[in-house]
Amino acid sequence: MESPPSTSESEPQPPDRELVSRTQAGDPTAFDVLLVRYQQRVYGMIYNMVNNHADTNDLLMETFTKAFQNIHSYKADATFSTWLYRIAVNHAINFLKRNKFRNNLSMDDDDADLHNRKEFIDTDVTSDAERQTNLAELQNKLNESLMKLSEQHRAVVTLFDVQGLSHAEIGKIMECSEGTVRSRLFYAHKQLQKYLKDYV
Amino acid sequence: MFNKERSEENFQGLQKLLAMKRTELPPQSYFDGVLSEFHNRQRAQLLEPRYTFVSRFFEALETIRESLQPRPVLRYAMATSAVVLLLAASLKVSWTDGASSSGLALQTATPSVSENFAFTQALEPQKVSNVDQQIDAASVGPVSLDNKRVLPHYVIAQAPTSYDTAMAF
Repeated sequence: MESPPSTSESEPQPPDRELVSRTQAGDPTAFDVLLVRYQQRVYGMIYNMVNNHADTNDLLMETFTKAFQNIHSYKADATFSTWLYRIAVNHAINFLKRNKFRNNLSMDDDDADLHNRKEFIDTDVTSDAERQTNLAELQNKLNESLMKLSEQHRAVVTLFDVQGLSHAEIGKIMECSEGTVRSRLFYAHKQLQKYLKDYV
Repeated sequence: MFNKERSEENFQGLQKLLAMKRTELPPQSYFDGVLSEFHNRQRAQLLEPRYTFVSRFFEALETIRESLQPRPVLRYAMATSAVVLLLAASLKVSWTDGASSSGLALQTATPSVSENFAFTQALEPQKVSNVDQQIDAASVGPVSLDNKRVLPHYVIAQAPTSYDTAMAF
C-alpha cells in the first residue's frame, strides 16, 4: 500500500521508503512525518478492535513507540504500512487477550459523534430525536456484534470492511494465506449478519 | 479453494453498515496532539529510573505488603488483638520465669553436711530392720521335683487284668 497523497499541495511529501531510510539513518523527524501520516488509520484499526478511546490512545502510542524502536528490523520486503499495521494488530490482539474478562463493551460517546454526522442522517426519518435514537441503537448494536467476534475475525473485518484493505494485504499483515483471510471474512460476515438481522 | 463469489454474497447491506465505522474517529484536535504526546512519552521513558534487581525485589515486597493491608475497619480490631496477644505473651513469660527459677533452686541446692547426716539417720532404722528380718525355713519348701509344676502322670504298676474267664483244658 502506497502512502496517501499529500495534504499540502505546495509541499510534496516524501514516500514512506525514504522516510524509513532517514529514520534508520538517525533522523527522528522523518518518523514524525510517518506518524502523522498513519495515525488516523492506525487509530481506526485499533479502535474498532478494542472499542474504547482511552485504550486505543495507549495502544496507538505503544504501536508507534514499538515501530520507532524496531525500525532497524524493518525490511523492505513489505510496505511500511503493512509492517505498521502488523504491529498494531498484534498489539491489539495481545491487549484483548490480556483483558479477556474486562467488560470493554462501553463506548466512548465523547468522541464518537456518529449521530451528528450528516452522512448518516436518514431523510426518511422526520424526527431528530428519533433519528438520533435509531443511530445510537444501531451503533451500539454494531459494536456489540463486532465485540462478539473472536480477535482474529474482528481484525479481518476491521481491516477489510473498515480500513478497506485487500485480501492479499490482510494476509501479509496477519501472516496467513489469502484463502484463510477469505474464510475468516466469510465466517465473520455470517456471524455479523446473524447478530444484525434486524438492521441489514 | 474458497469460493470468492460465495464470500461476497448478500453482504452488501452489512458492508454498508460496517462502512459507517470508517468515520468513527475522534475530532481532528485529538490527532493534532498525538505527535506531541508521542514525544512526551519518549522523553518520559528516557527519564524513567533504571530498575535493578534489588529495587525490583523491594518494589515487589512493597506491592505484597500493600495487597495484604486490611480494610480500615479491621485495622483497629487487628491492632487491639495484637496488643492483647503481646500482653498475654509477656505475662506468661514472666510467670514461667518465676516458677522455673524456684524449681531450679530446689534441684541444684547442695545440702549441708548436717542435713545430709540427718537424712541418712532417718533412713537407717528401716534399712536395718530390713536386713535383720529372719527368714522362716519352714515356709520355704525344699526345691525338688515334687514342687515342680508338672502334669500328673500315672504309672501302671500291675499287669492288666482281663475280665475274660480263663480257659481251662
